[in-house]
Amino acid sequence: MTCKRASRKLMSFIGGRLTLAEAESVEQHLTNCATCAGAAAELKRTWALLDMVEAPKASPEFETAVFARLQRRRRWLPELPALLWQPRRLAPAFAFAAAVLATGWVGVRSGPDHAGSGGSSAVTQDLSQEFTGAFAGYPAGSVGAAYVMLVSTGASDGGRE
Amino acid sequence: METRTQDLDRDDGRALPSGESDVDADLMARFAAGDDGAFETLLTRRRQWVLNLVYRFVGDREEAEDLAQEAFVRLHRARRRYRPTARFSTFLYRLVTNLCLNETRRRQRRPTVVLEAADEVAADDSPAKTATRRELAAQVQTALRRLPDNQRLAMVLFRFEGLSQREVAEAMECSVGAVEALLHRAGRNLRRDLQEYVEES
Repeated sequence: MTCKRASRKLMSFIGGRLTLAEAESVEQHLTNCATCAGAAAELKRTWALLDMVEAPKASPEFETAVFARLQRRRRWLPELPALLWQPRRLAPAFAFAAAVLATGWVGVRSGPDHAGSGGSSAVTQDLSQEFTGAFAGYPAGSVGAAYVMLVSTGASDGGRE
Repeated sequence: METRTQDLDRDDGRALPSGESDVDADLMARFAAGDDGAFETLLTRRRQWVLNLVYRFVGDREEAEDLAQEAFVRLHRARRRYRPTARFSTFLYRLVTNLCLNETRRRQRRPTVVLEAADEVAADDSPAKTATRRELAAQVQTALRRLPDNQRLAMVLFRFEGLSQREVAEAMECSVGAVEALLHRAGRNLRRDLQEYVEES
């Protein structure tokens, strides 16, 4: 065994994680190499010093704090993966998102570029402007996402939780 | 060869078992099937273990408690992802180590001052001995904290949790060779930083 190989094995050797054959091989090397033997002795003392690191006891409120966190997350951050397993609960959100997209598409089609094409009536234009005006400044995706959050938060609060 | 006690009926913070017959795995499976009580039992059984692991990584009591609680929130949310075919110990080690690495990166907070590590001193220690012990504990903790995150995590899992290099590799999702290199470097850095105390001892 080379010094390089032995030095890489030292930590496992000291921690007692080598197989018998591997440990014997390292021991053999340490017997014949004073440099590696010195390094092993130092590492062994370093290993022992780590016993000084003692962890504190968990606070008595630990469990209560975990459940409080869970409660907060349930209220404000519903479990989307769980919702994905229940498509029916997401149906209103999908319907709303589809309506927003359709309205936006109609609005684009009836804009100045398409004014001459006769594709949309004045009533449709008014409706789409009124609807999209309520969400002016917000991307359509974020509006849909906000609705998903509202729907699922409400469902989560009143549902199985 | 070190042996690991696997008395799992107490919340004693000891390392998780690596055997396949695993009470925690059963609890997690029951929780995944909708038994909320199983999660409470799991929390009671494993809170100290998770706190120990996190504390040795972050070195700050308050932050450790915060992260340990967050680990259980993640465990709660991961119930649908858990498959009893995977060892629970591996699953939990991975969850906690990912949380530790991600959170410390996110917070980018590495306090240099320590700590409560040596608060629990023997009753018959003299004040001078206690002070020395505290100082030594603080130096050791500081040296541990000075290690790069990956080295420190590998060292905590290997040294304090008693995992094999293969198990550390599974928890950290890297190769055994990488773990060997991390431990080698961690050992070298700790020896260097604690040289004074290593020579004294």
